[in-house]
Amino acid sequence: MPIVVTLDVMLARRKMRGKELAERIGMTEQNLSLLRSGKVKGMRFETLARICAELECQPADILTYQPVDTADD
Amino acid sequence: MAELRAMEDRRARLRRLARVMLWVSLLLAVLGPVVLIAVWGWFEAVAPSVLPGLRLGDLSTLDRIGGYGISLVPAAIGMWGFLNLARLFGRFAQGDLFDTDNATRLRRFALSLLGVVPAKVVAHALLSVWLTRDAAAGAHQLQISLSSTDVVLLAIGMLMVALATVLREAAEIADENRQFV
Repeated sequence: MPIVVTLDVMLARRKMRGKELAERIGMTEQNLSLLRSGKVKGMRFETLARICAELECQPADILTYQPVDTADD
Repeated sequence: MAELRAMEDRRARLRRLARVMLWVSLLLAVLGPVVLIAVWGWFEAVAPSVLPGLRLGDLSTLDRIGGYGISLVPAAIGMWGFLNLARLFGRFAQGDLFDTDNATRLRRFALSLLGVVPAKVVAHALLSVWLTRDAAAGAHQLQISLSSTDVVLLAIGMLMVALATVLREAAEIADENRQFV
C-alpha cells in the first residue's frame, strides 16, 4: 500500500501516548494500534478529522504517499 | 445520539425476537418426528385429510412403522432446516447479524424448503403404494399430490435462497467495513 500512516511521528512530536489519543477521539486502543501499524483498509474522514483536531495537525502530517516501485515486483 | 439509541433499541428488539425464534425453531425441529409418532399411532383419524380417497382397513404395526419411516424423510429434511434456522437465530440473538455463517445457515434453511416439497410428493406417493400393497387386485393406488401450499413453499424457498445470497454479500461488505477505522 503506497499510503503510509505516520501517526507515530506526530504523536512523538506532540508528546502524546496512543492510549491518550484513543481516549480523546473515542476510539479503542486496539483500533488505534491497527491504524498506527497500517493494518487497516481505510480511515473515515470523521476519524481523520478527530485526530487532526486533537493533534492540531493536517491530514498530510499523519498520512504520506510513497510510490511503490513496480519494476521490482 | 438519539439515532444511536434508536439503533440500539432496534438491535435489542431483534435480539429478543431472535431468542424467541430460536426456541420456536428448536421446538419445531423436535416436534416433527414426535408429532409423526402420534399421527401414525392414530392414523385412521387423520387419514382422510392426509391421504384423501384412500380406503384403509385396520392398519398393522408393520403398516404404521413403514408409514412412519416414509413420512420421516420429508420430516427429517424439515428438521435439518429448522436446526439451521435455530442456529441462525442463535447468532442473531448474540448480535452477530452480518456473518458469512449466517448466510450459510439461511441458505440451508432455504434448501430444506426446496427439498421438502419433492420429498413430500415422493413420500405421499410411496405411502399410497405402501398402504394399499395388500389390497385386492385393481385396488392398489398410487397417489401423486402437489398442493398450492407446496408451490408457495417452493416460492418462499427460492426467495430465501436469493436472500441468503444477498446476506452473504452484505456480510462481506460488513467485514470490509470493519477494517475501516
